[in-house]
Amino acid sequence: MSDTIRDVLIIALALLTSTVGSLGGLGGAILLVPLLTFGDMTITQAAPLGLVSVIAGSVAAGRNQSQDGAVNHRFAVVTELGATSGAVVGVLLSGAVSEQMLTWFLACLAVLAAAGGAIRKGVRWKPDASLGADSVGEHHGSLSGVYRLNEQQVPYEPSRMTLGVCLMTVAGVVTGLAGVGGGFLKTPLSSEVMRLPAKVAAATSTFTIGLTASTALLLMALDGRVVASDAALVVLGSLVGGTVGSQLQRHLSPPVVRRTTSVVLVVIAVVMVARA
Amino acid sequence: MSLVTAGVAAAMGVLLRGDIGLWLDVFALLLLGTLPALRVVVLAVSWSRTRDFAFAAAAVVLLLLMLLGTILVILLK
Repeated sequence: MSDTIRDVLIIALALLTSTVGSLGGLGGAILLVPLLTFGDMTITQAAPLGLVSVIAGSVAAGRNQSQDGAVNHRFAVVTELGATSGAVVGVLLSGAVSEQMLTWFLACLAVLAAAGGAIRKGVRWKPDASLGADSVGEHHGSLSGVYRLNEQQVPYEPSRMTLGVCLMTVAGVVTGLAGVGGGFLKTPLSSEVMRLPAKVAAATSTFTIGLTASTALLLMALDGRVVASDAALVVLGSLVGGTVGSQLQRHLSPPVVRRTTSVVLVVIAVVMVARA
Repeated sequence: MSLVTAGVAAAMGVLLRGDIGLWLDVFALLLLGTLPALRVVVLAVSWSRTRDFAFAAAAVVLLLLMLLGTILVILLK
Protein backbone atom coordinates (compact mmCIF):
# COMPACT_ATOMS: atom_id res chain seq x y z
CA MET A 1 0.00 0.00 0.00
CA SER A 2 1.42 3.42 -0.96
CA ASP A 3 1.90 6.09 1.71
CA THR A 4 -0.75 8.34 0.16
CA ILE A 5 -3.40 5.60 0.12
CA ARG A 6 -2.51 4.70 3.72
CA ASP A 7 -2.86 8.36 4.80
CA VAL A 8 -6.20 8.78 3.01
CA LEU A 9 -7.46 5.55 4.58
CA ILE A 10 -6.51 6.72 8.10
CA ILE A 11 -8.29 10.07 7.52
CA ALA A 12 -11.39 8.29 6.15
CA LEU A 13 -11.56 5.82 9.07
CA ALA A 14 -11.13 8.63 11.61
CA LEU A 15 -13.89 10.62 9.88
CA LEU A 16 -16.30 7.68 9.85
CA THR A 17 -15.72 6.53 13.43
CA SER A 18 -15.81 10.09 14.85
CA THR A 19 -19.11 10.74 13.06
CA VAL A 20 -20.67 7.65 14.64
CA GLY A 21 -18.93 8.33 17.96
CA SER A 22 -20.11 11.92 18.36
CA LEU A 23 -23.64 11.08 17.17
CA GLY A 24 -24.13 8.58 19.97
CA GLY A 25 -21.70 10.01 22.55
CA LEU A 26 -19.68 6.80 22.43
CA GLY A 27 -16.35 8.17 21.22
CA GLY A 28 -14.85 6.73 18.07
CA ALA A 29 -11.80 5.03 19.57
CA ILE A 30 -13.45 1.74 20.36
CA LEU A 31 -14.27 1.38 16.64
CA LEU A 32 -11.18 3.10 15.18
CA VAL A 33 -8.53 1.16 17.10
CA PRO A 34 -9.61 -2.34 15.90
CA LEU A 35 -10.03 -1.01 12.33
CA LEU A 36 -6.50 0.42 12.34
CA THR A 37 -5.09 -2.89 13.53
CA PHE A 38 -6.47 -4.57 10.39
CA GLY A 39 -3.75 -2.61 8.53
CA ASP A 40 -0.07 -2.39 9.42
CA MET A 41 -0.50 -1.09 12.98
CA THR A 42 -0.22 -2.88 16.29
CA ILE A 43 -2.70 -2.14 19.06
CA THR A 44 0.05 -0.25 20.93
CA GLN A 45 0.46 2.11 17.96
CA ALA A 46 -3.28 2.40 17.29
CA ALA A 47 -4.41 3.13 20.88
CA PRO A 48 -2.98 6.70 21.06
CA LEU A 49 -4.56 7.46 17.67
CA GLY A 50 -7.90 6.34 19.12
CA LEU A 51 -7.48 8.86 21.94
CA VAL A 52 -6.57 11.63 19.47
CA SER A 53 -9.75 10.82 17.53
CA VAL A 54 -11.87 11.04 20.70
CA ILE A 55 -10.39 14.44 21.66
CA ALA A 56 -10.71 15.93 18.16
CA GLY A 57 -14.24 14.55 17.72
CA SER A 58 -15.24 15.83 21.17
CA VAL A 59 -13.88 19.35 20.59
CA ALA A 60 -15.38 19.59 17.08
CA ALA A 61 -18.81 18.33 18.16
CA GLY A 62 -18.81 20.54 21.27
CA ARG A 63 -19.37 23.76 19.33
CA ASN A 64 -22.64 22.68 17.67
CA GLN A 65 -23.85 20.75 20.69
CA SER A 66 -23.29 23.70 23.05
CA GLN A 67 -25.27 26.00 20.72
CA ASP A 68 -28.27 23.65 21.05
CA GLY A 69 -27.91 23.49 24.83
CA ALA A 70 -27.27 19.76 24.41
CA VAL A 71 -24.17 19.68 26.63
CA ASN A 72 -24.95 19.93 30.34
CA HIS A 73 -21.54 20.99 31.68
CA ARG A 74 -22.64 20.98 35.34
CA PHE A 75 -23.90 17.40 35.01
CA ALA A 76 -20.66 16.49 33.19
CA VAL A 77 -18.42 17.91 35.93
CA VAL A 78 -20.38 16.24 38.76
CA THR A 79 -20.48 12.79 37.14
CA GLU A 80 -16.88 13.06 35.92
CA LEU A 81 -15.74 13.48 39.54
CA GLY A 82 -16.86 9.89 40.11
CA ALA A 83 -15.68 8.58 36.73
CA THR A 84 -12.20 10.15 37.04
CA SER A 85 -11.70 8.84 40.60
CA GLY A 86 -12.74 5.39 39.39
CA ALA A 87 -10.51 5.60 36.32
CA VAL A 88 -7.42 6.40 38.43
CA VAL A 89 -8.14 3.37 40.65
CA GLY A 90 -8.76 1.26 37.52
CA VAL A 91 -5.51 2.29 35.84
CA LEU A 92 -3.54 1.56 39.03
CA LEU A 93 -5.21 -1.87 39.29
CA SER A 94 -4.81 -2.69 35.58
CA GLY A 95 -3.23 -6.07 35.07
CA ALA A 96 -4.96 -7.47 38.15
CA VAL A 97 -7.87 -8.79 36.07
CA SER A 98 -7.46 -11.06 33.05
CA GLU A 99 -7.79 -9.07 29.81
CA GLN A 100 -10.07 -11.68 28.24
CA MET A 101 -12.45 -11.73 31.20
CA LEU A 102 -12.56 -7.92 31.19
CA THR A 103 -13.34 -7.83 27.47
CA TRP A 104 -16.22 -10.27 27.84
CA PHE A 105 -17.53 -8.26 30.81
CA LEU A 106 -17.37 -5.01 28.79
CA ALA A 107 -19.08 -6.67 25.83
CA CYS A 108 -21.92 -7.88 28.10
CA LEU A 109 -22.28 -4.36 29.55
CA ALA A 110 -22.43 -2.89 26.03
CA VAL A 111 -25.20 -5.35 25.03
CA LEU A 112 -27.13 -4.61 28.25
CA ALA A 113 -26.82 -0.87 27.60
CA ALA A 114 -27.95 -1.40 24.00
CA ALA A 115 -31.00 -3.36 25.18
CA GLY A 116 -31.86 -0.65 27.73
CA GLY A 117 -31.91 2.03 25.04
CA ALA A 118 -33.67 -0.08 22.41
CA ILE A 119 -36.46 -1.47 24.61
CA ARG A 120 -37.63 1.92 25.92
CA LYS A 121 -40.38 3.43 23.76
CA GLY A 122 -41.33 7.06 23.21
CA VAL A 123 -39.73 10.24 24.47
CA ARG A 124 -39.30 10.90 28.19
CA TRP A 125 -39.01 14.70 27.99
CA LYS A 126 -41.58 16.63 25.92
CA PRO A 127 -41.21 20.10 24.34
CA ASP A 128 -42.71 22.99 26.32
CA ALA A 129 -44.43 25.56 24.06
CA SER A 130 -44.26 28.22 26.77
CA LEU A 131 -40.45 28.26 26.63
CA GLY A 132 -38.70 30.67 24.27
CA ALA A 133 -35.42 30.23 22.42
CA ASP A 134 -33.64 32.27 25.11
CA SER A 135 -34.41 29.58 27.71
CA VAL A 136 -32.02 27.08 26.06
CA GLY A 137 -29.11 26.15 28.34
CA GLU A 138 -28.29 25.00 31.84
CA HIS A 139 -29.94 26.39 34.95
CA HIS A 140 -27.84 28.33 37.46
CA GLY A 141 -27.05 26.29 40.57
CA SER A 142 -28.84 23.15 39.34
CA LEU A 143 -28.37 20.15 37.08
CA SER A 144 -31.56 20.84 35.13
CA GLY A 145 -31.74 22.62 31.80
CA VAL A 146 -33.47 23.16 28.47
CA TYR A 147 -32.27 21.91 25.08
CA ARG A 148 -33.36 22.69 21.55
CA LEU A 149 -35.11 19.99 19.52
CA ASN A 150 -36.40 20.83 16.02
CA GLU A 151 -36.94 24.52 16.85
CA GLN A 152 -38.76 23.58 20.07
CA GLN A 153 -37.50 23.87 23.63
CA VAL A 154 -37.40 20.78 25.84
CA PRO A 155 -36.94 21.13 29.63
CA TYR A 156 -35.38 18.26 31.58
CA GLU A 157 -34.10 17.43 35.05
CA PRO A 158 -31.84 14.46 35.79
CA SER A 159 -32.73 12.24 38.73
CA ARG A 160 -31.16 9.39 40.79
CA MET A 161 -27.87 11.30 40.84
CA THR A 162 -26.40 9.47 43.86
CA LEU A 163 -26.93 6.09 42.23
CA GLY A 164 -25.74 7.49 38.90
CA VAL A 165 -22.48 8.95 40.27
CA CYS A 166 -21.78 5.66 42.12
CA LEU A 167 -22.30 3.73 38.87
CA MET A 168 -20.13 6.28 36.99
CA THR A 169 -17.38 5.58 39.53
CA VAL A 170 -17.71 1.84 38.84
CA ALA A 171 -17.72 2.59 35.08
CA GLY A 172 -14.54 4.65 35.65
CA VAL A 173 -12.84 1.69 37.37
CA VAL A 174 -13.86 -0.61 34.48
CA THR A 175 -12.65 1.84 31.80
CA GLY A 176 -9.40 2.45 33.70
CA LEU A 177 -8.83 -1.31 33.91
CA ALA A 178 -9.59 -1.79 30.21
CA GLY A 179 -7.87 1.38 28.96
CA VAL A 180 -10.92 2.66 27.06
CA GLY A 181 -12.68 6.06 27.16
CA GLY A 182 -15.94 4.65 28.43
CA GLY A 183 -18.43 6.66 26.37
CA PHE A 184 -20.32 3.45 25.65
CA LEU A 185 -20.96 3.12 29.40
CA LYS A 186 -21.37 6.81 30.30
CA THR A 187 -24.02 7.62 27.68
CA PRO A 188 -26.45 4.79 28.65
CA LEU A 189 -25.87 5.48 32.37
CA SER A 190 -26.71 9.17 31.90
CA SER A 191 -29.72 8.41 29.73
CA GLU A 192 -31.22 5.32 31.36
CA VAL A 193 -30.20 5.66 35.02
CA MET A 194 -30.06 9.44 35.52
CA ARG A 195 -32.79 10.07 32.94
CA LEU A 196 -31.05 12.69 30.87
CA PRO A 197 -32.58 13.11 27.37
CA ALA A 198 -30.77 10.87 24.83
CA LYS A 199 -29.30 13.82 22.92
CA VAL A 200 -28.11 15.59 26.08
CA ALA A 201 -26.63 12.33 27.39
CA ALA A 202 -24.77 11.77 24.10
CA ALA A 203 -23.48 15.36 23.86
CA THR A 204 -22.49 15.52 27.54
CA SER A 205 -20.71 12.18 27.26
CA THR A 206 -18.85 13.40 24.15
CA PHE A 207 -17.55 16.31 26.28
CA THR A 208 -16.48 14.12 29.22
CA ILE A 209 -14.72 11.45 27.14
CA GLY A 210 -12.66 14.25 25.55
CA LEU A 211 -11.44 15.11 29.06
CA THR A 212 -10.61 11.49 29.90
CA ALA A 213 -8.88 10.97 26.57
CA SER A 214 -6.72 14.11 26.92
CA THR A 215 -5.39 12.85 30.28
CA ALA A 216 -4.75 9.37 28.84
CA LEU A 217 -3.04 10.86 25.76
CA LEU A 218 -0.71 12.88 27.99
CA LEU A 219 0.34 9.66 29.74
CA MET A 220 0.93 7.91 26.39
CA ALA A 221 2.88 10.92 25.05
CA LEU A 222 5.12 10.83 28.14
CA ASP A 223 5.61 7.14 27.37
CA GLY A 224 6.75 8.07 23.81
CA ARG A 225 3.88 6.18 22.15
CA VAL A 226 2.36 8.99 20.05
CA VAL A 227 3.40 9.16 16.36
CA ALA A 228 2.68 12.82 15.54
CA SER A 229 2.45 12.38 11.75
CA ASP A 230 -0.24 9.65 12.02
CA ALA A 231 -2.00 11.60 14.78
CA ALA A 232 -2.28 14.65 12.48
CA LEU A 233 -4.13 12.51 9.93
CA VAL A 234 -6.55 11.37 12.63
CA VAL A 235 -7.01 14.99 13.79
CA LEU A 236 -8.06 15.98 10.26
CA GLY A 237 -10.58 13.14 9.87
CA SER A 238 -11.98 13.43 13.39
CA LEU A 239 -12.46 17.22 13.31
CA VAL A 240 -14.68 16.76 10.25
CA GLY A 241 -16.31 13.60 11.68
CA GLY A 242 -17.13 15.31 15.01
CA THR A 243 -18.75 18.21 13.16
CA VAL A 244 -20.75 15.91 10.85
CA GLY A 245 -21.87 13.72 13.79
CA SER A 246 -23.11 16.70 15.81
CA GLN A 247 -24.98 18.07 12.75
CA LEU A 248 -26.65 14.68 12.25
CA GLN A 249 -27.56 14.58 15.93
CA ARG A 250 -29.20 18.01 15.53
CA HIS A 251 -31.54 16.70 12.81
CA LEU A 252 -32.40 13.23 14.13
CA SER A 253 -35.18 12.55 16.64
CA PRO A 254 -34.25 11.25 20.15
CA PRO A 255 -35.63 7.71 19.52
CA VAL A 256 -33.51 7.49 16.33
CA VAL A 257 -30.40 8.66 18.24
CA ARG A 258 -31.18 6.11 20.97
CA ARG A 259 -31.67 3.23 18.52
CA THR A 260 -28.58 4.19 16.49
CA THR A 261 -26.61 4.20 19.74
CA SER A 262 -27.99 0.75 20.59
CA VAL A 263 -26.94 -0.64 17.18
CA VAL A 264 -23.43 0.83 17.55
CA LEU A 265 -23.20 -0.62 21.08
CA VAL A 266 -23.98 -4.09 19.71
CA VAL A 267 -21.32 -3.60 17.00
CA ILE A 268 -18.85 -2.54 19.71
CA ALA A 269 -19.69 -5.70 21.72
CA VAL A 270 -19.10 -7.88 18.64
CA VAL A 271 -15.79 -6.10 17.87
CA MET A 272 -14.69 -6.63 21.48
CA VAL A 273 -15.51 -10.32 21.46
CA ALA A 274 -13.82 -10.74 18.06
CA ARG A 275 -10.67 -9.09 19.44
CA ALA A 276 -10.75 -11.27 22.56
CA MET B 1 -10.67 29.71 16.86
CA SER B 2 -8.40 27.15 18.57
CA LEU B 3 -10.23 24.39 16.73
CA VAL B 4 -9.59 25.98 13.32
CA THR B 5 -5.95 26.67 14.26
CA ALA B 6 -5.46 23.02 15.24
CA GLY B 7 -7.12 21.84 12.03
CA VAL B 8 -5.03 24.14 9.82
CA ALA B 9 -1.82 23.15 11.64
CA ALA B 10 -2.63 19.43 11.21
CA ALA B 11 -3.45 19.93 7.51
CA MET B 12 -0.24 21.92 6.90
CA GLY B 13 1.72 19.28 8.81
CA VAL B 14 0.32 16.52 6.61
CA LEU B 15 1.04 18.46 3.42
CA LEU B 16 4.51 19.78 4.28
CA ARG B 17 6.02 16.75 6.10
CA GLY B 18 9.73 17.04 7.03
CA ASP B 19 10.79 18.89 10.22
CA ILE B 20 8.36 21.79 9.76
CA GLY B 21 5.52 19.35 9.14
CA LEU B 22 6.41 17.44 12.29
CA TRP B 23 6.45 20.62 14.40
CA LEU B 24 3.06 21.60 13.00
CA ASP B 25 1.69 18.11 13.82
CA VAL B 26 3.02 18.38 17.40
CA PHE B 27 1.56 21.90 17.73
CA ALA B 28 -1.88 20.69 16.55
CA LEU B 29 -1.78 17.80 19.02
CA LEU B 30 -0.68 19.99 21.95
CA LEU B 31 -3.41 22.51 21.19
CA LEU B 32 -6.12 19.85 20.86
CA GLY B 33 -4.89 17.93 23.91
CA THR B 34 -5.17 20.96 26.19
CA LEU B 35 -8.56 22.19 24.91
CA PRO B 36 -10.80 19.86 27.00
CA ALA B 37 -9.06 20.80 30.27
CA LEU B 38 -9.03 24.48 29.26
CA ARG B 39 -12.78 24.25 28.76
CA VAL B 40 -13.18 23.11 32.38
CA VAL B 41 -10.97 26.02 33.53
CA VAL B 42 -13.19 28.44 31.56
CA LEU B 43 -16.31 26.84 33.09
CA ALA B 44 -14.89 27.16 36.64
CA VAL B 45 -14.11 30.87 36.08
CA SER B 46 -17.48 31.53 34.45
CA TRP B 47 -19.43 29.77 37.21
CA SER B 48 -17.53 31.56 39.96
CA ARG B 49 -18.24 34.91 38.23
CA THR B 50 -21.97 34.12 38.24
CA ARG B 51 -21.70 33.09 41.92
CA ASP B 52 -22.45 29.44 41.14
CA PHE B 53 -19.78 28.48 43.67
CA ALA B 54 -20.75 24.83 44.25
CA PHE B 55 -20.25 23.91 40.58
CA ALA B 56 -17.17 26.15 40.25
CA ALA B 57 -15.65 24.23 43.18
CA ALA B 58 -16.64 20.91 41.57
CA ALA B 59 -14.83 21.95 38.36
CA VAL B 60 -11.69 22.90 40.30
CA VAL B 61 -11.80 19.58 42.21
CA LEU B 62 -12.15 17.74 38.89
CA LEU B 63 -9.06 19.48 37.48
CA LEU B 64 -7.10 18.69 40.65
CA LEU B 65 -8.29 15.09 40.50
CA MET B 66 -7.11 14.78 36.88
CA LEU B 67 -3.73 16.27 37.82
CA LEU B 68 -3.36 14.08 40.92
CA GLY B 69 -4.44 11.00 38.95
CA THR B 70 -1.86 11.69 36.25
CA ILE B 71 0.91 12.18 38.82
CA LEU B 72 -0.12 9.02 40.71
CA VAL B 73 -0.16 6.93 37.54
CA ILE B 74 3.26 8.28 36.47
CA LEU B 75 4.74 7.55 39.90
CA LEU B 76 3.15 4.18 40.58
CA LYS B 77 2.95 2.47 37.17
